[in-house]
Amino acid sequence: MAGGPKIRIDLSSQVPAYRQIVDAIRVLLVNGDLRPGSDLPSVRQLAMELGVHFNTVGEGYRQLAEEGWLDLRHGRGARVIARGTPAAASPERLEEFRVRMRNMIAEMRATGIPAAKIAGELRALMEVLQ
Amino acid sequence: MTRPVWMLTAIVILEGAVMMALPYLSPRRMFFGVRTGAEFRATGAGRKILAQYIGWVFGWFSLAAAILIGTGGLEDSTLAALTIAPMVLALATFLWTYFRVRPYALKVPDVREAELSPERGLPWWGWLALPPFAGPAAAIFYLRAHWSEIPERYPVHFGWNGAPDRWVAKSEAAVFGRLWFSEGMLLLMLLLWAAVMIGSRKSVRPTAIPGIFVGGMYLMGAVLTIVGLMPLVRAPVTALLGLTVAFVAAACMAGWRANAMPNAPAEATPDECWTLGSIYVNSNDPAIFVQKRIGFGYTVNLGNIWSYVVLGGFGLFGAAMATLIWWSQRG
Repeated sequence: MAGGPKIRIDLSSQVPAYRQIVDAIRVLLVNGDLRPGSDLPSVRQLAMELGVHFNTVGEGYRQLAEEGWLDLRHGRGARVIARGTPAAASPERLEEFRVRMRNMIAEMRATGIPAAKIAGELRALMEVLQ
Repeated sequence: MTRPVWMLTAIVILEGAVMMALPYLSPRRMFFGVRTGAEFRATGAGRKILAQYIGWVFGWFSLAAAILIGTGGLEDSTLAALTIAPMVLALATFLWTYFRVRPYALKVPDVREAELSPERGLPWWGWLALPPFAGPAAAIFYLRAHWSEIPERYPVHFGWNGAPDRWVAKSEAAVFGRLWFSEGMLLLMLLLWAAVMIGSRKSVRPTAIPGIFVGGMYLMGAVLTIVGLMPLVRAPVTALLGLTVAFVAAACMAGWRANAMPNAPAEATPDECWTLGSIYVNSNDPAIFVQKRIGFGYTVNLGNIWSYVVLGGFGLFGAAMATLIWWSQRG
């Protein structure tokens, strides 16, 4: 039996586990690895597989539902739904993303990664997530 | 050498073999319940620790076997002590070795992975756990059909040589009680198997482990059916012992292949939640059953409230079965 897409989280990371779950699933959604109609495991099942509290997965699912990616069905897990193309982000939201990216790029530069390498990585990621 | 001594010696040798094999049956990245990484056991320190453990365990069981064989006519209590003592000493040696390995523990990132596929429930081959129930059921029909051949003085206990040494008056409870007990024990195993399948992580479950569990049901079904038929069919105790030894050997081999091979799936559980490499307490982990760090199989997460519900349920079921067998076999 072919396995479904996988997510990976690091509990020793400073990023909260629910945030890592949201980020990992969103990458799969944007990338088309999870398509509308796909069923996700129940909160109980995913929490058990990841070895985290139910609330951690529940919070992640709720956030994705708020973003319009998931339909949460009580006691039956979650289903990916078709999501209309959202309107372009507001200037405030864009500025928020810009700040986050600037901080991350500064952190990468601080660890010695050359600017050209960072630009290459960003381009490669954009191609994957088109 | 009398028969009980021969059998007790065989049991001591089997115990010793299992204790010596224990480090090889555990997940490769674990060494005496400590996360050292798969490579550690090939290092000089790892080899030395393992050789010393095996040497001590071999010594304890060899000594017990030598005393059993060399001295005849010992009291039953002394014979029992000679069977149990080397196991206690071997466990103490294991614990001592655990503390020797602890300084080599690795601190590794706590990375978890999960497949985003919906729940699949019990495996398709789960129906294979049902045929063992047919054994005791067939024995009930057989005994009912041959009711007149069953002696009025019904044996309820058998000695080492398979000969009866305790009897009660023939009754439905005495004849069929043992077989109903057998069905109950098989049901208990089936429920435990289902509980493990539902309450443990699927992504890291070696497929052989639930298979060994179902195999154990076949062994239990066969042995209990033979015991239930003993008043009419005389089965040699050595055959039952041989069957059990063969199953343990096959289970160890399958467990080693499933659990200790380098590519075996590994379950990430936090080191700080383990005590002595064998007791797991993690209130943040929704799993009721987690992979053992020592040997193969599962242990209970004592930090999960549902574990106590499950344990309590099985405890009550077990107590009911014990009451059933006591009631049916009382004189």
